[in-house]
Amino acid sequence: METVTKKNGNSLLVYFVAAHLLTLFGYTFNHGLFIHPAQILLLAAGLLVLILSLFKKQWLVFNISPSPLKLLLFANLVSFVLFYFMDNPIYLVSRQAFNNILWLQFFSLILFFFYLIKFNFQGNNFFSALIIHLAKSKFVYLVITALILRLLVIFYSPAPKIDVFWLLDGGVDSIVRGENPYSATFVNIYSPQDCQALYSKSECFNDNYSYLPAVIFATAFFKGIFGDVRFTYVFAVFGSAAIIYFLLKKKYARFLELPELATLLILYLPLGLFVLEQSWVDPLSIFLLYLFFFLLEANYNYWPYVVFGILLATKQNMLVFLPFLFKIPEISFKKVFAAAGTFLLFILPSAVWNFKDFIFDVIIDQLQFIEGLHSLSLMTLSRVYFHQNLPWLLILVLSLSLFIFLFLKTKPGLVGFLRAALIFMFAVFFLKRGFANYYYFISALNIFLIVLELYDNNDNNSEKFVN
Amino acid sequence: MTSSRKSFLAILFLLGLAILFFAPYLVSGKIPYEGDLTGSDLTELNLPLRYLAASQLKAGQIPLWTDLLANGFPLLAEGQAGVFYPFNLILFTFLPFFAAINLAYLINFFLAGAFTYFFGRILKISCLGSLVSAIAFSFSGFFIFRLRHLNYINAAIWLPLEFYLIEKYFLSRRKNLILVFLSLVFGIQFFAGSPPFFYVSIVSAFAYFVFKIFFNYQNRLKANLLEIVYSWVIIGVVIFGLTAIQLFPSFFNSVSAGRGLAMSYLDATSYPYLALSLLFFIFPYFLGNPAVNTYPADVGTFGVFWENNIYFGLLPFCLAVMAMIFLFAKNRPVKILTILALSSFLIIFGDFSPIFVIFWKLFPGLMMFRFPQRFLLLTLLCLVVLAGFGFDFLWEKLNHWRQQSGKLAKSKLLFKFLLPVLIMAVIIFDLGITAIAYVGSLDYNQYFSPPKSAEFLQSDPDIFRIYSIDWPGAWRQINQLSNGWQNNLFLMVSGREMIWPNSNVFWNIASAQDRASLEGGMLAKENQQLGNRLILESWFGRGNENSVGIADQTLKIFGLENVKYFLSFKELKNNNLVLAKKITNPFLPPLKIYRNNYFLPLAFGVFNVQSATSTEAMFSGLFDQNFDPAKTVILADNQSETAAAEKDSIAEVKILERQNSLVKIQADFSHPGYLVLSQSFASGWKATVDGGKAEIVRADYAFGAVKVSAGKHQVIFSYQPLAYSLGKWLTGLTFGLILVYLFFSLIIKPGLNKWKQ
Repeated sequence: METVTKKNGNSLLVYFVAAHLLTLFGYTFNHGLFIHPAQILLLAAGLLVLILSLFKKQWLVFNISPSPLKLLLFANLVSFVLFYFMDNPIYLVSRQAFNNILWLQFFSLILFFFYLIKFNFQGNNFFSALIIHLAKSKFVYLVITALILRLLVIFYSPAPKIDVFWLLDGGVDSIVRGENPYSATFVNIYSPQDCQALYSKSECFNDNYSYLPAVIFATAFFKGIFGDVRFTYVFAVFGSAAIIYFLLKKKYARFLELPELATLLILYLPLGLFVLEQSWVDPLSIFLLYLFFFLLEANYNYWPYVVFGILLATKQNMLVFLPFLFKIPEISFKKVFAAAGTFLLFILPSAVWNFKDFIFDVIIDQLQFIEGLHSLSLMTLSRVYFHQNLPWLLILVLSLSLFIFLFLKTKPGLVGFLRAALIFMFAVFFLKRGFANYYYFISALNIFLIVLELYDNNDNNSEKFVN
Repeated sequence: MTSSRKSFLAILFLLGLAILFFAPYLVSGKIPYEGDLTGSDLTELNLPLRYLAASQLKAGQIPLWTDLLANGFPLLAEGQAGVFYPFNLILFTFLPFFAAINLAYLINFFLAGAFTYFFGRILKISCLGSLVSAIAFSFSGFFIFRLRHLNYINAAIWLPLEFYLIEKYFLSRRKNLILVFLSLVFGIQFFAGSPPFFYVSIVSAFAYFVFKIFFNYQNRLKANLLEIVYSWVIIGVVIFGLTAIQLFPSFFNSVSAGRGLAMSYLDATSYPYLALSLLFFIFPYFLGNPAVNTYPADVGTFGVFWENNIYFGLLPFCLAVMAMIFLFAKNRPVKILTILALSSFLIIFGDFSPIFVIFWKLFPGLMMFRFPQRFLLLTLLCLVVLAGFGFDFLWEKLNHWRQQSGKLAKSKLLFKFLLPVLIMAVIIFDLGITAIAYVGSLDYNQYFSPPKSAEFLQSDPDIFRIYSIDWPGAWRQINQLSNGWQNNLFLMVSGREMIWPNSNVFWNIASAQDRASLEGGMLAKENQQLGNRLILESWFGRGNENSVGIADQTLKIFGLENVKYFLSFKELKNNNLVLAKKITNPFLPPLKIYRNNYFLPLAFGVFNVQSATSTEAMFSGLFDQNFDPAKTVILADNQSETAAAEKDSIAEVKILERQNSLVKIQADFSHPGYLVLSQSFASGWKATVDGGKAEIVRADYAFGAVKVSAGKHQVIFSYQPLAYSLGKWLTGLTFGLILVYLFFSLIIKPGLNKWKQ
């Protein structure tokens, strides 16, 4: 695997962390909805930093050169603060539920500070013993708190007022009853007044299962066991965290703080709770993508591509990854076939069951989406300032140019694959349509880029590198 | 003095203290009294149920059912009577009721102290320190403020013994024997009739066990897990077998009960434990004292006083805090108890706890109960034992200072006697005045002798039920007028003319009501539903502050419930209600007893059948103006094939014999029809017609009926629940096996070992 550390000046890690933080600052306010053009500028800056990281020439020289540990500490500090102030579910059953979640977020912030402060206590009374214990076991408590927070979101927000939750829930019920989710009608959450305001009609129907079939099976499994489709995402987030931790633990056995901090980046990724409440499937896609990388790192032959096939069968925009697959040097026809075969295995039964409904739900309805003014994208900015959409042709030309550039510019290998796909997706979301979950997904990819950068470093176990 | 002699004296002291506290009641012919939000769970729940159980046991019957409450009441299955709790069996069956009540308290307080003392001792706390723990536990607010809940106290006292046995388990080589003893204690606790405190205890003991094992053996995860699973499977199996005689009937009753097996989250957390409640640890009455009516009436905001308050003395509290702060890092038991005490608040705070909802959703069994603050029992035990540790710590420091400084070196009397006595005196005085400020005393004879209303009702030879209109409202007004139960019990005694449910049982008068049904209760769902509807129709129906208008149809349904008399402080308005008696009492409005003209006998024949498509349809059919229960019976669709009544149809029904679990009836029907028994429809009731098995069908929503052909028949209704029969055998078998095991372990095995040597 390639090593992508820049030879002069800053390491790539600085670029990735900077891009990550700029992206976070861009989208975490107001639950990822457009409120101010500065958000767009911050996202543009994040994207730009990522693109500039591809060039050999140092277009940007950061006046600081912190160690990976300090970089991760800083990234986490920002992440935790944003997580505390900006992340919260919005359809909770009571005010007290909100307070309880906030308390735990505060507790996690305090626990994180134990990474920044060392205590010189003897531990001979309750308070100092407690502080020493917390300082020693902070990571365990942070992981437990992250889990508790997610369980609270599910229990305190049992019926979020968002169509995604109800279509996923209804989709599971349909499949259990032996009915086609793509032909089913789900619980409508909108009142006639809501419908009038949102869609200019007095009656709405929630009848489009907009995700691909792998989501149905995954959510059915977890709803069957735990009673709520969102447990799928709890499992996915902790699966992703475990992948990061064990990947880096192998490399940094002597400096466990590094894998811990990298793991916390995903567990406390701002808007994680909001995304969970809203039931968006992105955490599942993230997990499958992480798993794909993990299995490749573990030198499996075909399993990674089976997982990749499942990933493609979760959400339409995952297909973006497909062309970049050819950036992986070990790719072969058989492997592509394994991925495509798995994808088709999930897709075909639904397509055959009722082709018309399936195509309408997963393609036509998506294409008919009318852009609003709430998406965090250049498109919104254009609509706000110029009262018209960005021309399709412009988006197409820009996207295509970027795709060609990325395909040619990125080096072959896993990191190349991930960087190219990440930048391309980021750009498309940024140009056309981006919401909280879209950028949450981008941030998660950025985190994995940071992880891979740490993982690939040859100087990985030296104190000098870490500190 | 040897350690065992010191312990003997300490136990004697604890016994003396319990006698000192309860002897005045015994001597003066009184019992402790505490009111509730309405009425008292002591005089209107715990004592009536014990009275019923004891009466039936004295008559040689197993108290499975009583017809004195709520159209028939599953006395054993409901559970709170604590039918098989050993102390209930002994005290209430064999002693006069008055003595049994006071002795039950005395024994509870003594045992609570003794068990805590032994728990302290096994943790290597000094005799004096353990005594501090024992007094603080047994005379804490948890018990003193809860005297009304005898069944809860009966159950709660066993927790220290369970913790003691867990300690013993880790010290002993005969671990299986200890596990069996532990299971036996759990079994006894289950029989006490308080599922919530049994649950709290089993969860607490399990947590303590797990903490012990993981703190003792930190580096053997697999072995620890295996040991936990092995031990608790044994405990679980033995408890299950041992308690089957109570567990099976209770479980199957719960399934069909109005309260069901689970509560909603809102119900479970509706009486909060506020952060403010923590001040109870220092000032027990800072929010007021319900005994003098100064505690806020808004319990939905401030919480229930006796559920939230476990004040165990200011000094023991300070000692406990001291132990937590200074011994946490050095002493393993202190560490475990501190963690348990502090983490118990994660449950106790209920909805205010950031993680209670997770416990509630994921922890098996927690959904069954209200009041998460009942885990304060665990907090209390941990804190009082920590107080013992704190006492030893302070004592050691004092002695150390004495030795170092040379001061008071010759004051042996001070350190050996005066100071310990002073400390005990301070604790006892503190807890004593707290108790005196709260507990009322009720003249036994005055309260339990029949009031005038009961005497009037007893003079009617008919079989009938009574109904007390808006009794909680009446009780609250009397309590308001009295300024709590500490100020003017005279008014409370006068108020019993109302015959609060379930105090009717003391005077052998049947009531259609049950005290617990208002709080969910364990009545059959339909019986409770009907009761709730009748409350709406009769307590708050068309009237004003002083009068209530009851509709004709409602009176007919009361008649169907065999209700002949209504008791009310308000005036009841309906032409079919006849004022039969007016009883005056000083300071209270006159109590009026009305006769219901629509009264129907306990059993009667009906020839018209109205079919209903569902149980709900039956319910709405009852309140249809055209429905007359005296002439028509509502049955489910598939039961209604009897021919329509003819004009000359006559049914003569005579009750030949009536016991709690048996009704023998002679029925003479001119045409085929249904014999309706005004008794709650419940599984377990069987019927025979002339010796042949007959099916009891659900009739008129909440009652039962048997199809009878024309002619003279003998119909017998008897209560023989399968759950009880199965449970009885399983309990017997388990108990037998335990006896064999104990005989082998304690007698045969040591004998064999001796012989081998």
